[in-house]
Amino acid sequence: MLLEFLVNENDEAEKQNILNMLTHASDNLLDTLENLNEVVAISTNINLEKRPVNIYDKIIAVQQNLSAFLKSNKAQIINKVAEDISILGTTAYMESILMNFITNAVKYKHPERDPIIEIAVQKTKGKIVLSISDNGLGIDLDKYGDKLFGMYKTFHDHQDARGIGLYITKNQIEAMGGRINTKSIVNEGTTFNIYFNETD
Amino acid sequence: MKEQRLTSILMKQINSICIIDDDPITVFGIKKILDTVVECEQIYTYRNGKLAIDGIQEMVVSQLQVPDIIFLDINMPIMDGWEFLEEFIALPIKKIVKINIITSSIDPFDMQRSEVFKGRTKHTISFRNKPISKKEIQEITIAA
Repeated sequence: MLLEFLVNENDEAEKQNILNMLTHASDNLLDTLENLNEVVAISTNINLEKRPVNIYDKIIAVQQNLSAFLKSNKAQIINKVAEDISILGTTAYMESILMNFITNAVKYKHPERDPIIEIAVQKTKGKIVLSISDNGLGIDLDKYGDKLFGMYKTFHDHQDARGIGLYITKNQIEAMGGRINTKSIVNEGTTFNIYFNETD
Repeated sequence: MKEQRLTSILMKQINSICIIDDDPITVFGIKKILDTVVECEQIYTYRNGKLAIDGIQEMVVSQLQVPDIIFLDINMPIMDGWEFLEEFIALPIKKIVKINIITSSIDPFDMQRSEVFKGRTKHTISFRNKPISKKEIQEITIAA
């Protein structure tokens, strides 16, 4: 459609406008391909080698990686996780999961307050429950609950939302044998509880 | 002058058209094609179903003309095309509005769902896939 417009357009400014749109569309397409590639990689990697992953260390690592982003958004992370707790999983997925929840909490922060993200761990019946709570916009789960982890689903009016982050996150959690549930109150915040298997 | 009169005779005249889509490229494309096939007083564009239904409700309340033709995307944030349709068909609108679902979804379930809506409203509903062509937009506007 755009290429056809471009060929038939005589106005230089409009041509440039169409070119910009084409560039944007092709960048998006590349992103989409990379994302799909990642999804396929996760779901085909069933014989994932699981090792103990220390949760506290991973939170610190992600926090350091995101330090500029957190600082510019005046975001605070409260790390309540004991230093000696490990789960059975893979380092890369764990980092990606934490990264995604933390950046989401900041991206969908409440306009009237600075983001605070609290991360805690509880042990129950051989499971380790990692809770990530924020004080952000929250999401109406009655309305969107079944779509929250769906592919290409977006819920807030953010121009850069792609609808892929939580889909990948859920796949990574499940690839490590975990599962996730969500609690949220609109205008108050969201808590994600992730259930992992304890290391032996 | 002569040429202008000729085009105004040939070009279909429509009071107002509404485009509901969160993809700026689709909105741009539909507008651009509309420019070449139809004379339209007013084109409304909305980024999601919620903004659109609020806008149209406002038109109904203040007794303004609601759009004759609607181009409707399905997957949008905040309120999607189905939720918009649900609220739109409940509005007290006397005239028959031509609703055209324009989606990149090729899921047969979505097409079936549009069939169900057809049976529930006097408005006409069509289902087309992106990208939409000039020919299709011409068909839509000529029938209006």
